[in-house]
Amino acid sequence: MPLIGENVVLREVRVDDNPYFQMLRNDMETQGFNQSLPPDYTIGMIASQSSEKKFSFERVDGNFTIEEKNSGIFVGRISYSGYEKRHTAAVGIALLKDFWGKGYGYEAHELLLKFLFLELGVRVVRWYTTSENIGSYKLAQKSGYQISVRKPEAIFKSGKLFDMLMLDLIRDDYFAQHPELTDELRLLP
Amino acid sequence: MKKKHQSKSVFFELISENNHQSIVDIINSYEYKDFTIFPFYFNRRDFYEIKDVIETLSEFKRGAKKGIWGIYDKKTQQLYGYVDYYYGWDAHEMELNIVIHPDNANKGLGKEVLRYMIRYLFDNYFVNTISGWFDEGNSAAQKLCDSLKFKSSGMMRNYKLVNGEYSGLYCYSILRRNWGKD
Repeated sequence: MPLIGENVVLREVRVDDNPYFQMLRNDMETQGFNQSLPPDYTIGMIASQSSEKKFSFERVDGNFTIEEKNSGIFVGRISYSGYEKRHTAAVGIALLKDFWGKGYGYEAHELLLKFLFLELGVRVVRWYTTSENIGSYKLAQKSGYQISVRKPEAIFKSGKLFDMLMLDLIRDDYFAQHPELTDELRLLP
Repeated sequence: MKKKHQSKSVFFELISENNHQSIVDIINSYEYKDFTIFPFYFNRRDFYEIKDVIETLSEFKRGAKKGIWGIYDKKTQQLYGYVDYYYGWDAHEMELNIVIHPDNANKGLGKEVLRYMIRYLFDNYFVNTISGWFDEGNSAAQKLCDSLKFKSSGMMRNYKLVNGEYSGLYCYSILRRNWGKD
């Protein structure tokens, strides 16, 4: 069963999503948080990326398509990577611009956080962005992240140097934000 | 023959096969976390083997614009440790690791190597920022960074669990325009 929220669903990636992934990858504003890529990705290139994935029980990442719950329309993608069992993972998200500022990103991200903290039992989730990306920073802040590292002028985009921000959300802080949830692992460090 | 890369008391060259065991000895040593400056690799497990070292060395061979060098004593040719560098998240930032054998710690080698490497990277790569990481509580690394005008960029919280307590990972950075500036 996919991860289901009030307005969005996080489901597995499908071949039909590839044209949307191509749009995200070829838009300079949504293609990657820390670098500029040539906006020339073809459907074939996008398809080869997902077809390389093989079945495994030893997953270090998870990739989801975000779709609108009622209409099934493609909203964006969300993923976690660098998963270390019961310890940590880093989250990434990209939405089509039509869905910016409407709460879809926040809800999708909260669904993924719930999966990471309640199903995988991680202790800390990390989020990387740049000082330019105010929307990304605000979303992370709303979910309880704090800036842990700010690398000065480490990112070059749109002709300007920006700081790279590394944020983290500690398990205790996540549960403090969610009094409706109980942390059954609270005796662990 | 004059070495291509050298500072006052050491020179830098590729790590040869007969030095792999020395690297294993360094990264498995009890003092590793205390004397290591920017221990990015070999930071997650208790024990490593020669094959781990070979794997890491081959990762560097495959990639462009990054390197890993052994640090050798000029007089005895003995391996003191290693230094590695690579592009970080963006091509205008580089990360740097320096690891020195505990028997040769506290002799000023870290400062000598770090100073040489910063100059080398700023002079030969298009980088604006050089960063490094070290464990919370590694006061030697912190002092070294302070002495060469690195600034704290913050600390990744809960980076690892050590003896029942979480330890953070500090990040220190230096900007090109601040290098060599009083």
